[in-house]
This record gives sequence, structure tokens and C-alpha cells, in this order.
Amino acid sequence: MTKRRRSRQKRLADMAGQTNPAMDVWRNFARHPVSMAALVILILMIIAAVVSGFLFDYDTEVTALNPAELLQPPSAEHWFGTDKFGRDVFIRVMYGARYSLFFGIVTTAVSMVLGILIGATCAYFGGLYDIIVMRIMDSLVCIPSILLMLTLVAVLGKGMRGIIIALVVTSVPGFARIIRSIVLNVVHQEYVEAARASGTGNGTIILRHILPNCFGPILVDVLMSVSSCIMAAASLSFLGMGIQAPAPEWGSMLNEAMEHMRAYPYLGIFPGLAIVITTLCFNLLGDGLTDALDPKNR
Amino acid sequence: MLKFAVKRILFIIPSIFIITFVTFLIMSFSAGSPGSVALGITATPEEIAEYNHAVGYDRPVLVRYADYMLNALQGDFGESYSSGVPVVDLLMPKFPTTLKLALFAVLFSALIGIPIGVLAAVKKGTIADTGTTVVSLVLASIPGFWLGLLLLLLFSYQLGLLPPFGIGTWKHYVMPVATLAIPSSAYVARMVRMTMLEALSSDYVRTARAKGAGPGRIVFVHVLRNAMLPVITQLGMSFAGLLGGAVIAEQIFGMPGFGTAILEAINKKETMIVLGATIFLSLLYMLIMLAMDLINALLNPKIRDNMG
Amino acid sequence: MNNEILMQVTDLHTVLPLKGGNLVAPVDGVNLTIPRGKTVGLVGESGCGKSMTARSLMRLLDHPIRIQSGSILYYPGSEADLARLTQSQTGKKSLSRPAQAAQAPEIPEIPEGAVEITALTEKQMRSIRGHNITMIFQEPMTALNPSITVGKQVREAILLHEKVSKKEARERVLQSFRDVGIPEPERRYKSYPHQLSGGLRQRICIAMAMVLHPEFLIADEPTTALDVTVEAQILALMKQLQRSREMSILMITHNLGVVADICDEVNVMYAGQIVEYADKTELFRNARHPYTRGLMKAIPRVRSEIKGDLFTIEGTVPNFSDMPAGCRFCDRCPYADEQCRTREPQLRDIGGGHLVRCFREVET
Repeated sequence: MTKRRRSRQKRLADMAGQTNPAMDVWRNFARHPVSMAALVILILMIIAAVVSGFLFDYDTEVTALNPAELLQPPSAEHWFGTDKFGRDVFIRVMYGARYSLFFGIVTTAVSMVLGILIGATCAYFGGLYDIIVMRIMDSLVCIPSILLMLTLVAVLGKGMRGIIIALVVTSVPGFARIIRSIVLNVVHQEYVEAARASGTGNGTIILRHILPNCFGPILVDVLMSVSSCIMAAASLSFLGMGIQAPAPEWGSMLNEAMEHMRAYPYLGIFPGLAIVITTLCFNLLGDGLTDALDPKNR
Repeated sequence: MLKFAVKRILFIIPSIFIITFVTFLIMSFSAGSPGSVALGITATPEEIAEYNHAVGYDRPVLVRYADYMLNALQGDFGESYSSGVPVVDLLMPKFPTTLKLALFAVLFSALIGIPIGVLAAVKKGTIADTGTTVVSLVLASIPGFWLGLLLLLLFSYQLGLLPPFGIGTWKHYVMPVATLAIPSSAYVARMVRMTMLEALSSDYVRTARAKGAGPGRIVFVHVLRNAMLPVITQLGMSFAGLLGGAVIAEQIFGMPGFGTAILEAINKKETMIVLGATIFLSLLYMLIMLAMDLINALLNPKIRDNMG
Repeated sequence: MNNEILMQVTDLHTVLPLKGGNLVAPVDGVNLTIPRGKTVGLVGESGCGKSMTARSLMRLLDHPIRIQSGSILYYPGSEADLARLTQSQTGKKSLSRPAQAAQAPEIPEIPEGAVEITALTEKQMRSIRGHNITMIFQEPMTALNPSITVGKQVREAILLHEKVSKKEARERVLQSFRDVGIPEPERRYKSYPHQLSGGLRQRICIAMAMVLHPEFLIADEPTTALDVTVEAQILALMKQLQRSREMSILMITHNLGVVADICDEVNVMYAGQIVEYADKTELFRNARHPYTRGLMKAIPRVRSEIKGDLFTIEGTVPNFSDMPAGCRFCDRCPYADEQCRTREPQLRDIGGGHLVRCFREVET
């Protein structure tokens, strides 16, 4: 049903004059001022995350105690104020982008690769392998993700490695399922059958013919996954199960701030705002891409 | 349809084995053992080993797993390592608080999210649509724990309207429920808008218009029912997810619920409690999803027929 | 009441605004006459604007497509309908909201006995749709609501327009099921669309369109999605209903075989314009526009296939945003000359009411 409607819309679009699709998507996207703004903000954030590693010294400026300037409200000198140890909150928030962006991007990339591996092989080979692997994936989905992540972190140790593995384990099943259904669609397309009929090997077919066609549909899911991974990582740290103090991870900064929220609300505002802006930008990017990829708008 | 339900329930069984096995395996890598938890940090390695041998913990993982499952099938989910209290007795009293939180949260997210989503879809392209889309996107990007902190700051600390901690009265539930319901309702609104737009552009809507049906009739008689199917599944998933996700609200607002109990157990390496809670929540998840599928089948004759 | 004509469409422009403020016109100055009790064909390739024309007649256009200008005069067959539609048309003009017809008032004179479709309110339009003018669509698969029984969907058409009891409406639905040849109507009444075959679904759609005895049926490629044998049955059914009820049909199709089977008069449409009009016998005997001739040569015939390749018209319909300056067909026309590329031909009568939009029809 949708396919037929799409084709009708596409015909309409064709009548209106259509050119190179990739350029069209970009043009559509660029016309969206909000998505463009999100893209710019994210690029700035990535730059800030990279630069802050060189700009600030972790031991003396990010985590060192400074008893002379405890709990100061925001001022010209300390834009976001200072925390209970006298550390500059602005520097810590900026430095914290390193953790969140790293978790969001790296875990999504790893999950995507694993998801593609699992989903594509399941769809391509089918049979018992497919049944067993997908059953395991579906079962993992049934465990509440926060519970699974907490358990994994508890066993693997609180810290980078634990968080990344926990996030990957919880996001792989979703990717595997999406990729599997896309590949199942593609596998039965005529050009794949033609390639198989002409004796092309399995690996080549998957790499050359199948995967490139999966990229478009999952692009949006990938961006959404980045933002949900960022949120999940921050939640873990907030619950005291993620990155530990004194590292300036946004979630653990909020955890620290909780006891002082009543008297010093700004401590709880800025790290939270940073999380919201980051996840919002990834979500906006996803929305903009959905619109731009929609054949109706081309 | 009965056949379908039975088949689905049978499907749950292998899932339960996979889930318990995965959890069992993960927990077996944990540094904690019954001996180390029960005897505390003062115990010597010899004492711990002796204790573990006495309770059979030194057997291979697979044997212990089989043992656990056999007992679990008879309703015995083990005891807490430190206190010896049965897991069921430990966890069950905590569940009503979390159930209430999740139930109200999903109820409100449906009550708020669905009408807003429908309105946005019907008024597509207007300021009302753009406004709700932007607001729901922003709300969906707020992490629950920060929202909880902000609510706490505003309603308890600044305005003094609501109690910050505890579970005594209905007032105690307002902020935790809002913390869980607001992002969830934003998500529901976005989804409803999407499914409504999809349904509104379908061919049968054009047929209904060609019959002379007005916009109200089209939305309420023709579109809503078809657009609600994926939303119902989503609401079920949020409900199941909130039963686990409530831990954040419980932590912020000091509510002794299921999530808090699990978090404590994880920190104390109380494997039996974690296992029991995982089985319980996963089973609940699968039963909720089954219920959603059955509701979908009731609403959609096509699915009903395919269930055969 | 006008005894000859049911609908008169003059210079209809339906436009699609593009992002960036440009307009394209999938329907670009179409004239159509629907005589009472006849079947008129509207033929063309996909994308030529024929479906858009049909939907314009019922004002069933998806936002942001709209009728920009032109007149659609409808002559209702019953005095009651005319009174209902004209009284409020003149009486409450200021209150009326001509949703898709912003420029409607530019046609000042509405002839006696006529209703200007483009100037009606949405509410008046709804009272016509399904009651006086009905429509069936190409896709019987998706044209019916999957979650409502087909009986109820047809019954809705009655209940929307007449104040009758549900029981009586049900009886009339069953009667209309029998009229369109649905076996076991009582059982089918309770069926859901997915439980029926494509042919049966299209019969349901026809029953839905016919249940209130409309005087005008617009059929948008009603048989394209069906098997050939089912197509023949559906066409026979439409012919029979048309004759027994003296209804007018506008048959939209890309299939000249369907035209030969069912139509009395034919309009050939190309790139948003009518390029040739004649009655059926004249058109099949004496097609003058190169496009029409191409369409006819492209019909597969058993003999010609043995001799050689099937004839095809080279190229595709031009983009609406990139129309040739002269004749819209010139890029694909084997006879095109300098004049065809620079000047736009007009429809002209070459005798006996046969209209052609071509400079070179005499030579071809």
C-alpha cells in the first residue's frame, strides 16, 4: 500500500522535474533551517570536545580541588559557576562533551556494525541459524534495557569499558532486526538474484549489492540511536553505575549536584541542558533527514 | 485466536531459558559469591571457599543453572545471600509502588499524547502542528532524571507544593509519575502524528471522501482505529519499559520500589535477587506484548484472520 | 434542468504549488462536456493529468493541489437537488468558504439550471459526493477500509445522505450487492475487504458508488489492477448499469481497448491538455492527432505482432516544469516542424465536432 502511494508521489515529483537524488536530499535538508542549525551546533560541539582535550589539563583544571572558590554562582570569570570542590562548571561541561559524544557515536557505530553482521547474515542464510540467532536477539529485548545495562556494568566494572559493552548489548538487537528486514526485502530483488545466478560469491553479494541499499533506511535510526545512547550513558552515570567522579561526565555531575540542588540550582541546570541540547540536535538531524529522504519532498 | 495465544505462550518458554541463562552467565562473572556476600569483608578466602562449597556454589555454572531452573519451576527463586530471606518475599512487597508509577505514567502518556498527536496530524502544516511537533521533540530529548531534578527544584524547593521524598500520599506520586509520563507522552504524540498522517493519506480515506464523509467522520470512524494499532503496541512496550525504567524516578524521589531494590542488589552482588527480578520483569514484558497483540487482533480483522 | 448536458468543464486549471513558490499545472486548460446518459472516455498515458482532472470534478484534491481557475458547471437532474445547491449558493454566499476555489467568482454568470462546482462550499460539495456524483478508483485492494466490514462501508454511503433506519439501509445495501452481481450478499455483507478477491472488491466499490443511484459516475482506471477476465466482467457490469439507470460515466483509462468497449465519446489527453476529441466511431476510424495515432498503433494485435516489433511512441511525457515552447508533443512527434516547436496549437474543429490540437493533422 505505502509502496504504491510512494510511487504515485514519486510520479508527481517526477512531473515537477527531478534530478540527482543525493543532491536533492542535501538541498532539501539544507533548506530546513532548524536541521541546519542542529548540524552546525553538533559540529561546534564536536570541535569543542576535541579542543577541550588540548585546552584544559585534566588533572589541574578539570578535576583538581580549588578550596578558594567553592560553590560560586555564575559570573564573568566562571560562566557556569563553580561546584562544591571549587571546580569551574563551564570547563567541566565542555570537557564532558568528550564522554557523551564518544559514548553516543562509538557505541552506535559498534552496534551498527554488529547489527549489520548479525542481521544481514540471518536474512541471507536463513534457516536454523536465523531462527536461533533472532530468538536470542528477541529475548534480549525482553529484558528491561536499564536492568540489563546495570547488571552488565556491575559485572564488567563501572567505567568506559562497562558502559560501552552495556550500551552495545542493549542496542544491537534493534539494529539486527531492522537490518534483517531490510536485507530480506533486498535479497529478493531481481538484481540480487541475477548476481547470484551469475555465480557471484555470498560475501561479494552482501557487501556490494545488499549493504549499500540498507544505508538509507537505517540512517535515521542511527541518529536516533546516538541520542538514546547518550541519554542511557548519562542515566547510568547518574545512578552511580557509570563514569565515576571526579570525571566530568554530565550524568555523574548531576548526581553530585543533587544534594546541593536546593541551594545551588545552577549546578543541576547546565549539565542537564548540555545533555538536552546534544540529544535534541541528533533528534532534529534525524527528523530533518526523514523529511529530506521523503520522496514526497524531493 | 486461542491457538495463536497458546502458540505465543509456548514461544515464551525458550525465551525465558535464554534470558535466565544470559543473566546467569553474566552474573557468574561477577566478583561476588554467596560466601563473600554473606560473610562480609572480614572473612578469609578459606572461610569463603568453605561457605561456597557448603551451598554448592563451587559446582560448574551449567550445573548451578540447571539446579536454579529446576527450583524456579517449583516457585523457589532462591534466597538473599546476606539475609537468607526468600527472593520472592524480598521483591514482591516492593512491586506495587513501581506498578503504580508505571501504570499511571503510561495512562497519562496515552491521555496526553494521543489527542495531541491526532490534533497535530489533522492540522498538519499549521502553527498548532509545528508547535506541538517542536515541543514534543524537545520533551522527548530531555533525560528523565534531569526532568525529575527540575520538577523537584520547582515544585518542592521553590514552590513547596509537593513533598520531595517518600511514598505516603498521592502527592508523593505526582512528580515521579510526571517524570516518567512527560517524555513518554511526547514520544506517543510524535508516533500518533506519524501513524495518523499515514492513515489519512491512504486510499480508503479518499473513498470515504468520495462518499461524502466529512472530516470529523473520516478521522473518528475511518482513520483513528487503523492509526491506533501501532500505537497500542508502543504503549505496551513503554509500560513494560517503565516497570524497569521507574528506577530513575524512584532514586530521585526516594521511593522504595522494585527498581531501587534491584539497584541495591546489583551493588551488593546479590545474584539471586537480580536473577529473580530479571525473570519477573522479562516475563511481564512478554505477557504485556502478548496482550497487545491480542488487542491488535481484536481491532484489526486482517491480523485476526492471519492468526488462524 | 438541462436535458442534454450533465456537466460542462471550461478551461480548467488545477495546479500543484512547489516548494519555492513555482506552480505546475497537471491540468492545464481542460474543456470537457459530459452528456446526459452517455459514457465519455478520457485517455492518456500515466502522468498526463487525467486522474487529476477527474478528482478536480469532485474537488477531491489532496492539499496543496488546488483548482486555480476554470469553471465546472453541473446541471443536476432533479429540481430538488438544484434548489438545494443553488439556494444556499446565492443566499449565503458571504458565509460560504470556497475552500479550493479562490478565483471562482471570476465566472459571473451561472446559467439557468446549473451549479458552479468550484464555488460550492465544502459542505455542499459533500452533499453531492456519493449522492449525485460518485467515483470508483483503480485500487480495489486499498480503496476499502481494512477494519470495517464491506457491508457497513456501503451502508455508510446511504446513512451519510439519507435519513433512514439502519435496517432499511442494510436492505438497500443487500439489493445493491445483488445489482452488481455479488454472490451470497448476506454473507459478503459481514466480510472484511481482505477476505474478498480483487474483482469482488471492485464490485463492492461499484455497489458503494451505485447504491444511491447517482446520475454521474467517475471511474478512475477501475479495471487496471484486475485480471483480463475480471476486467471484462466489470466492464460488462458497468455497461449494463449505465444503460439501465441512464447514468453518465466518465471513464478514465490508458487502455484504448476499454474505450472501444464502453465509451460513446473520447477525449485524448496529453501533458495536461485535451489533444483530440471525437465520438468513438469517428476516432477509431479517423484519428488525426499524431499522439492518438501512436496510441492506436501501440495496441498489440495478433497479426501485426507476427510481422514485426510492436510500435511504441518514443520518449516520455515532458516534465510539467519544463514544457516545450510550442506543441507539447513536438519532441516525440515524427511530423513536427519549425512551427510546431515555436507556436502552441489550439483545439480546432475539423468537421463534425471532431476536435484536434495539431497544425499538421491535414498532412498526417
